[in-house]
Formats: sequence, C-alpha cells, structure tokens
Amino acid sequence: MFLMVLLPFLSGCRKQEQVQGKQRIAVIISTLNNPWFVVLAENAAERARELGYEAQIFDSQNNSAKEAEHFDNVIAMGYAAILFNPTDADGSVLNVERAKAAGVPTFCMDREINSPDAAASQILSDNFTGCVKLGQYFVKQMNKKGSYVEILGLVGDNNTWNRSNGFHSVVDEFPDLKMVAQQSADFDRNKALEVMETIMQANPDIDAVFCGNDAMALGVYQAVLAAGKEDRIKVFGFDGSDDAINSIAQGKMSATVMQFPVLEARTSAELANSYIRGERGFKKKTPVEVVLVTPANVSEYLTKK
Amino acid sequence: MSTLIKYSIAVFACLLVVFLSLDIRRIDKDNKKSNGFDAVMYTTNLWENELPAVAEKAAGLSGLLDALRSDPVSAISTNGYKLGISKTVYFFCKGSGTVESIDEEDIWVTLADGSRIQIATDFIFGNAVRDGSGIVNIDDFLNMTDFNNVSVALNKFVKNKVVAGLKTKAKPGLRIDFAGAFELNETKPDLAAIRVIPVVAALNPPLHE
Repeated sequence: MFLMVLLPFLSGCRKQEQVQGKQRIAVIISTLNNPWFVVLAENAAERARELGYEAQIFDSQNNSAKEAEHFDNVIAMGYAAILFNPTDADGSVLNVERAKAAGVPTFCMDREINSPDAAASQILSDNFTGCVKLGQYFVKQMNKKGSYVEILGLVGDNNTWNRSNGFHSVVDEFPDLKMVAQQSADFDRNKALEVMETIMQANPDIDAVFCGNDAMALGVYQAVLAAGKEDRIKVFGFDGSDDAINSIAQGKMSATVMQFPVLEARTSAELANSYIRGERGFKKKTPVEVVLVTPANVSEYLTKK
Repeated sequence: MSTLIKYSIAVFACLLVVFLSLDIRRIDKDNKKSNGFDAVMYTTNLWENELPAVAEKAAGLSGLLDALRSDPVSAISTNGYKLGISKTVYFFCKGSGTVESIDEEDIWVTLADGSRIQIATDFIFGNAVRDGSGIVNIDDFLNMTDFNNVSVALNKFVKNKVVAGLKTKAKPGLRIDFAGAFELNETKPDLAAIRVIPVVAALNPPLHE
C-alpha cells in the first residue's frame, strides 16, 4: 500500500530528472545465462547509448515473475521505451500491455509475443523459414532416406516449435526419412551430449541428428565423436554460433542456420528512438531473414557476426 | 506373514502415490497450442478468390527478366516483394514456353525470348507463393506460426491442385502456359536459375501445330 502511494511520486520525480538529463531505455532480456542473449542485450543497449539514451539491462532469468517485476520498475521509473526479449509468448503479453497503458512503448526482439497490438513493433528471427531451408538441405544430404533424431530445445518456448515445425514441414514429406527419437535437451550442450549417448545405445543405426540450436548440436557431435560415428552421423544445428561455424569449416557439423542478433538489437533500438521522436505507424512484425550455412558458403561467415 | 502383507501394502501405496504424482504426456504437447486460426480455410479462400486475380495481373516473365537484366533495382522495387529485413525478393509472373526436358523435380522450359526457366513439380517449399502474391500481410496474423502455416498450406495446394500429374503429362515440345512465383537473392540475382512455383500450369500442343 505504501509502495502504491509512493510509486506515482517516484515516477514524477524520475520524469522531472529526465527533463534535465538523458532519457532512458530499458533492455529487458529473458536470460543472460546464454551468450546469444547477452549479444542481443548488449547490442541493444549499446545502440541506445549511441543514439543518446541511458540504457540499462534487466535480466529476467527465464522467470516470468521477475520479468513482471522489471516491467513494474521500468514503468514506475519513467523509462522512455523498452527493448524486450520475452520469457513467454503468452505470459509476457500482460506486461507489454501494462507498459503500453502507461505510455511506455515496447519493442520485442527475437522472440514474439502472441498479441497483434500490445508491442509497438516486433523484430523477429524467422525461425520457421530458416528450418524450412535447413530441412531442404537435410533431405538432399540424406538422399531422401535414412534414420534421424531430433533434439528439441525448451518445450515451452515458441522458437523450439517454430524450428521443429519448419523442419518437419519439409522432412515429413519424405516417407523414407524416419525419425527414431525426439527428445528435449533444453538448449543445453551437456544435456544434449547425455541425451544423445542414451539415444545411440537404443538406436545404433542413426544417420543424422537435427538439433534446435548450435549448443546442443555441438554436444551431440561430442557424443557422436566419442562413439566413433562421426563419419556416419550428420549433425545439423541452428543459430550460427562461432563454434558451430568453425565446426562446419572443419568438416564436423553439416550445417546451421545463421541468425543476426546484432541486427535485431540495433534495429529495435533505432525503432524505439524513432518512436520517442514522434514517429508512428511501424510494421507490427518485422521478420529478419536467416541464412543457411553449409560447407559451400561457410567461408563467408567465418569472421562475421 | 502379516508383516509381509503390511510391507506389500506400504510399497503398493508408495508406488501409487508416485504414479499419481507423475504427469506423463507427449513431448510435442506444447506444440499443439491453438488460437483458433485455420490455415487451410484461410488458404482455401485465398486460392479460390484472390490468387486468380493476382495470376491474371502478374507481370509477363520475359519482360520481367528483361527488366531484371537491364535495371534490377527498379525491377525489384516495381515488381518484387520483400518480407521484413531480407535479401530475398519474391515475384509473381506469368508466361508461356516450350517444354524442353523433365527431371525429378522440375520441368525445364524455354520461353519465346530464349530464356530457360524451371517450373517446379516437386520439392515445393518456402514462401514464394505467399510473399510473391503481395496479398498476405504478416500484421494480419497473431503470430509467426499462423503466418508460416499459410505458406505450408499454399504449397500443399500447389502440389495437390497444380503439379499433381503435370510431370507425367509433360513431354518435350509441348507448350506450357503458367503463372506462379519465384524468388531471387537481390545481392546475387541468378537469372539463369529462375524456378517458378506454379499456381496455374496447363500443357497444350505447340503453337505452330
């Protein structure tokens, strides 16, 4: 109760401060326990600073309650905009709506929320289409037949299923490609290694593995290598991490899909800047194209991020 | 004996508690979330009521290829569609040509101006029809899943309604009239590898007969 009385006062004070100083942009990120999201957060904050704002990063630690808390604080402290990577496509909608009602625009980065108009704009990696491209390459590499395993990311995450569905929208059209196991490893390299070791014991004749991210693909490759099956089992990933790109260049992994977190982050900050300066009418959703990386084009990506 | 029965009951009770506390479900249960969007119904309407007009008004492929050769920037901005931040540009086109050869996934066609193109008969994936049509707006969809399911459904329509049987009926020398979509990379446009996903395709005797 005390806080409720105090918050409008604090908010007023903060707004007063900003008239005299720089406006602030908040970067609320699902987790900083994953290097990919660290790149996303740091680049969003850096671009906001380049544009003349104070920028602060808030880590939701994959916890929707913590995320809601960050929104409460950011709204109360009078931030001018939020660059947001949500923890949950459905669960995060209320937070974004609350910010909108308080006049604070939210710009989603990489992960979407299931609302057509809560966010001012959403800059999203086109995971599904990336995995359609990967699926086509996979089918050709497999000559349309063989046994494969799918290692999923977090089963509650939209991106996990966008990737899986994109892949299966292609591969399921080829009846001689048999999925012998589908298991989650939570986007985690060590977990993927353990899961793959177990799967190989039950399925000795696997020809390929499709993994929902590169960390898991590298863990799977480690398991495959330890089993001495690296010449037989093809490993496919997603993300375009430096380790995966190097692995493809060295002839270990077969392919990945390159995402562009720096571009997504910087574009979101630039849109927020335009909004603060009075511009409106942004596209609600802007997909960012992803690129299939194979041994044929890996040299183009060895030094790029 | 009574002790054995007691232990058996206790073990059974423990197992029952453990079993009842487990939530066993398929790993893809979280993949079945639905917001009521019916991609097939949406696509049926698109296919029957809107795409025919798009095909009718589409640019002629020979003219479009000429424009892409002479002034690609202008041709892309006039005739192409891009989705979001992307280097891929999608086009809708129509044309006629002579069947030259048939392979596993494509019919190779020579247009009247001598350009060689492919008409896809298999391996039909991606967003060329959805995005090349210019009539499907991403902002009309709740999420990317719904939007992408439109592409999946459109590609199935192409497979079932347009290319089914086309490959077996195609013979070198026949004329093929078509309308459809193709994609190009705007930074490295390869005009020698145009692959049209057809929404209309009809085989006819050669014009000179």
